This record gives sequence, C-alpha cells and structure tokens, in this order.
Amino acid sequence: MQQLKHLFVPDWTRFVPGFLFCLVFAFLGMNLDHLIGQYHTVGIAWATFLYEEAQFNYVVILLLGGILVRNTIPLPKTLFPGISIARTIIKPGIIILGVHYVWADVVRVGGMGLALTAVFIFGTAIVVMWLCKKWGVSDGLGGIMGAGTGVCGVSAIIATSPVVRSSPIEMAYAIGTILLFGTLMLFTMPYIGTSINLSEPEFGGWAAIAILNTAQLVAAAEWYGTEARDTAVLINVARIMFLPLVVLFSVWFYVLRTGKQDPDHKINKWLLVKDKFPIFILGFFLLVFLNSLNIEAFGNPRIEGSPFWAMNASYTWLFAIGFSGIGLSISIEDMKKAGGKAFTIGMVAALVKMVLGLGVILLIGAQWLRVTGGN
Amino acid sequence: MTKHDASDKKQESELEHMAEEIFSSEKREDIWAIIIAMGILILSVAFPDQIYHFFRQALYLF
Repeated sequence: MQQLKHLFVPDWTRFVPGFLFCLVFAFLGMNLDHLIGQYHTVGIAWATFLYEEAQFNYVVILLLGGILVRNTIPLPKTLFPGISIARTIIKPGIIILGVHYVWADVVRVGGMGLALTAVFIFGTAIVVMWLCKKWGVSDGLGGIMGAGTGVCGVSAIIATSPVVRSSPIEMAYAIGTILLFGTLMLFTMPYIGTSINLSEPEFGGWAAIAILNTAQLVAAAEWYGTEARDTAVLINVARIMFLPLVVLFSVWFYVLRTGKQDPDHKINKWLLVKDKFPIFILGFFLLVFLNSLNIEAFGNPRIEGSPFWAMNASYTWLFAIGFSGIGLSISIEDMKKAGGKAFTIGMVAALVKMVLGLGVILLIGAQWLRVTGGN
Repeated sequence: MTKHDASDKKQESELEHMAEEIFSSEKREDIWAIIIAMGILILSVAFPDQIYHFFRQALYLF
C-alpha cells in the first residue's frame, strides 16, 4: 500500500488543469490534421499543398500551435505544472511502439544504434569536457554541458549537477542552451533531410544522434515519416540506457580522477547506476519480446482484429498529448537564458554532431537502419 | 566557516535535493508509462475492435 502511495505526488491536483488543457489541445490538433487529410483526399488544392508540400501534419500543428499559444496568449500560471508533465505521455507511446519490432531489429538496428550512440555520446562528452578544461570553464558548467550535450539533454544536466557541483546560474545557462538547440534542430532537420533526399531510416538514425531530447527526437522523426520514427525510437532506447554510465563517467572525470571526493560523502556507484536507469524501456522490451514470439493470441499490427493491431491505433494519440506538452512549454523567454560560454560550447557540440552524424549515417546506409518488424 | 562556504554548501544541498526530487518523479513517470501501456494492452486483448474504433474513428469529429 505504501508503495502504491508513492505513485502519486501529494499535491497531484495542481497538474490537472494544465494536463486537461493539453488533452483538449491535442484533440483539436488531431481533428484539424484529420480534416486537412480529408480535404487532401478529395483533391482540394490548398489541403494537398499543406499535406504534401509543407509536410503540415499533426506533429507540426501541435508543436507550432503550442509555441504560438504559449508565447502570444497570457496563459494562467495554474496551467504550467500540468503542461510540463504532458510531454511524459510520449513514454507509454514509445512502449506501445514495441509491437513494431522483433529481436532481429533490436540486434541489427539497436546494435548499430548502440555502437553509434556509444561513440557519439562518449565522444561528445569527452570532447566537451576537455574543451571546457582548455577554455577555463568551471568544473560545474563543464560537467553538465558534457553530459547534457552527450546524452538526453535536460535530464542529464539535472542528473549530473549534484556530482559536479554546478551553481543554479550554470544550470540555467546549460538548460537554456540545450532547449534552444533542441528546438532549432527539431524544426530544421526534417527540412534539411528532405532537401538532401535522406531516406526515412537514414533520417531516423541521424536525428537519434543529433537531437538530445527524447520528446523532440520522436517529434522530428514522426514528422519525417513512420520508418524514420521506428528507427529513431529504437536507437533512442539504446541511447538512454547510457544515461547512468554518462553520470558515472562525470563522477570519475571530475571527482574520482582528481581526488576531490568528500570523505564524509562516499559515492555509491552501483546505487547511482540503478537510480538513473530509465525503467520504462523494460515495458518496451516486453512488447518486443511478445511480438517476436509471434503468439497468435496477440497477433501483430498488420493482423486486423488482433490485440496488437488495436494497441497500435493508440500511440498516435499518446504522442499527440506529448507533442502538445512540448509545444505549449516552449517559452522564448526560457531560451533567452542561453548564454555565456555554455552557448558557445552547446553550439560547437550541436554542429559537430550534426555534420559528423550525417556523414556516418550516409556511410552506413539505410539497409542497416531499416526496421522490418519481422517482414 | 566563511559566509561564502556556507552559501555554497546550501546551494549544493538544494541542487542535490532538486535532482533527487526530479529523478524520483522520473521513476514515477516511468512506472505510470508502464501501467498505461499495460492497461491499453489488456483492453486491446479484451476488446480489440472497440479500442481500434475508439482511437481511429470515435475521437475524430469530422
């Protein structure tokens, strides 16, 4: 019973208004997308332009609409807590996407993703931390920027901040920078991908290397196409497994290696890894496992009337709620906090990752990145 | 202990507290994500056609 109580925060009611607002916003956005799709089907020119040329689907409607509402209409402050948690509804959507994969995909694409993310995560973290040392940046800022630009953005910054002893202003700079570059990449990469004729699996792989935040990555890849999303989600699952290891690396780089550990405050490395492990991916792997067994009772997303076919219909709505949360929480005021050395470091890391990531993805090719789902 | 050290210690403990709070809330989010996904799985096993119809048709007004 005590365990169940921990599932609720004591003041959970403060999340309700904002969350309901996101539900309504997602509902309107999805219906607008559906309406444009129907007009496109019957051959109305403006709808076809929006649907085909401008790639104006539910992802863009919810993200741009959310940004527009957040930055032009003075929303009551009571909505903010609920809006901030709506993006986490992407997580059950990712779990449900597990029915799109079989173990062969996990081994091939996930294995490739694991190798790619290991190189890029640790490569970025090491280079950023080394650059920070060279440029005389404090350990506090260098540590969180290394972790933040290497893996998972804001989560990594928050996870690493206590171990490298960052100040609140350093955290504000780092979070502002990560949010700014994440948003820029989310809106520019799909257009860059289209302009250079990147295939969907290639785009999924590229986005998974370059975009740090899970929600922003899913949004960009879903915008590009379903194959791009399937590849990006699988590589992202491999990537977020690295979060505990990156925190551990930061502890070693800034505390253990330099002998700065407080003797009264010993760091328990196993506990650190266990605490930072993203357990929701276990749900994802459970569904991959069930799908791989090819159990008749569950069917698969292509077998009409089967449970996995029904389940597969739900994830778009879960993503829509999450994308509403992302759009409605992008505040231009927050991004203005990006500044100082954090901005320069973030920009160098983002650009290098984008260019090198694209080169590596083009070398690997689509066949190693395509999710088959057992076909 | 100087005033500066005391303020540093306070900031550190505040940051640690914030990180702990956020990570316990991330664990809570992860557990809720698993509960929601498994809830949808159970409903999909019990009522596949109704669940499909709800998400693909009933929620669209136009």
